[in-house]
Amino acid sequence: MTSGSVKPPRLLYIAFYFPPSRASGVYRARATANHFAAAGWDVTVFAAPLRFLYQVIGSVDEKLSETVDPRIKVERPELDLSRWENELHNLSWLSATFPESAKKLRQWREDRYFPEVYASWARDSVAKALRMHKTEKFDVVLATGNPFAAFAAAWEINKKTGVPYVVDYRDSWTLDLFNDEPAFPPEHSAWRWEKQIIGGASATVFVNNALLAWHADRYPRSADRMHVVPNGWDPDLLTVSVGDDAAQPDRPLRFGFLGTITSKQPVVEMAEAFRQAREHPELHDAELNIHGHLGFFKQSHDVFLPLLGLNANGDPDPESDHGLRLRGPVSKTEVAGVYEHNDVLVFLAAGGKYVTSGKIFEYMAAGKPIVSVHAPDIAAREVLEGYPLWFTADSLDPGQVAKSMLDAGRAARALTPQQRAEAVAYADRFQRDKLLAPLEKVIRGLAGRPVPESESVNE
Amino acid sequence: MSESSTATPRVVVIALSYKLSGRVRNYIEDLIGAGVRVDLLVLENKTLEDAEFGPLVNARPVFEREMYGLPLRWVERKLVFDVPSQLFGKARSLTRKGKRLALLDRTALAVRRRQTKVSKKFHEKLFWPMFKQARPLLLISASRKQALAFDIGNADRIVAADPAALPLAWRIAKRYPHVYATKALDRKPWIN
Repeated sequence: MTSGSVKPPRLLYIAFYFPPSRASGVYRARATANHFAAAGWDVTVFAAPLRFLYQVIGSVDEKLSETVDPRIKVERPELDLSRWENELHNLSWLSATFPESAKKLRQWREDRYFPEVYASWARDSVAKALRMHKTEKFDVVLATGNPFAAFAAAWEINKKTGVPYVVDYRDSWTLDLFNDEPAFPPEHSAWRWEKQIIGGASATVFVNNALLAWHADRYPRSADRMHVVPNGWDPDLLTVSVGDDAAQPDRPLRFGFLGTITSKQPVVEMAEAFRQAREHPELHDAELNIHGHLGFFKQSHDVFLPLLGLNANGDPDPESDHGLRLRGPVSKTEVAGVYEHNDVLVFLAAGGKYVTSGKIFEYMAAGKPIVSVHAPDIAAREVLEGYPLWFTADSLDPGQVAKSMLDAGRAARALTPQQRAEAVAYADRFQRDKLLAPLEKVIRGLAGRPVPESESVNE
Repeated sequence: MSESSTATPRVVVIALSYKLSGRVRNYIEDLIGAGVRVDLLVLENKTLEDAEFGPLVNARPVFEREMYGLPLRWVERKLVFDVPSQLFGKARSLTRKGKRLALLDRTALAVRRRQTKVSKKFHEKLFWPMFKQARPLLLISASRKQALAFDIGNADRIVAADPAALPLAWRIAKRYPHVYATKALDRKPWIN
């Protein structure tokens, strides 16, 4: 809470995905904005237009908006939605009469500014920021990507106003995390943009050490301004109680995956491993509950159903049923129930040595056995290795994953309160506010004026 | 945009590509599977070959063959391929007779080969790219009457199923602002 006559410093936080979006990166953005507001900052967030969230990607969680600090002002700069426009009544004469030419023209206009489909949003963000800055000055701009047009907006605001900016690589931009290779050819304009953005940033933030090292190697002059802020978990959204007892041997064990299933994840390996694990008498009636969406878009659902042994309605297909159950999407405010219900959590993740995944922190906070289904050299190792209830095959071979599923199931049956308390204690160090505190300190140093007395942000 | 509440829903699908894509076929099959009637406007008779949709689909081609429906294509073919071909055929029927005309015949053959190359290049590099751009516009007037023969005012939805159909579908949508019109092959609300 601000106090006295000291005016709080103003933070402009450019975060396209912000509640009610339910995009995977939205929790970091929500926590960051809340953290700064609680630390005494006057926070303005630039977020995606609601029409984009509701009508284009159809990916919203309205309950999440209720968890945003009411002191935060949310502005929604405009985004040119014509590329996603399907309704004929809303099409312009040009788009309806010469669709190909209209598409090329739009592409040209976007590329002229920034090589991303969200360029128009960034351009409007800059215009809006300059208008607001005229009325009352911003002290620092913090931008989170993706989309990385947010970085371009922060860079341009800095060019026009001198306000220092910080970029938060919540996601990777020029590094393809799934192939561990550059994401663009050498002549692509993304490289030029990244060089000037990182070069001009007062600080650059990554989610793990591997990503920081990769970028430091490319931009050594900026390396001393690079920081790591891991994704953590949000205690205000997650209080997990013990749940019913897995020690009762007559109750089938429940394995659970929570998150979005994507084509990059080893879904087939997971399904096959679980099928093999169920051949063992201890797991013969076990089920693997999938809580979440199948794919990021409304249309992507059907592709995954056969891979999971489910029919078109998402029900078990008697011919190929291996205990996988589709439980559907869960609001972030309801995930605690999912962790309570399941005895073993399945960490299904895509990618390799640069991928941490935000989900793993919540998994650890639940204090239950975690079984890994991902490439063995994943960056998430650096946080999982200290977790006492982690079971990994260090392989994607279904036979070996099945064995670690069996071990995790046995651990769940025999779990003592002491073991659980140790696991939860380890996870507590990854509470989001604890991880964000050093970043707030760095940005406070850039603001150039003191932050008024604030409430404790760790409460 | 409200959708009509008639007992049997009806969708007007406009697809003006030369072939119905698998995506469009699946869409129509899904709709009729859900009991939706479909008024389907396609380009030519050939487009409907090997498409058996059943009684819920009322399909109508714009042309017997587009070649004859759009005179520009017909004229280009005549001028660039058929007429030169006939002229050279005639000429060579004369030059082939007798040894004394052998040189002339070889020259005519060489010119004919050159002309074929130039004609092909003209067709592929110049005419066809321009025609492709103009085609959706040419199709507007040619197909408007057929499209309007469907009872569009009482339809539940107008669907522009491919880019070639977009200019016509957009103009029809403007004429019937109360009918939901889209280029998305969206099955909702009939199929979830």
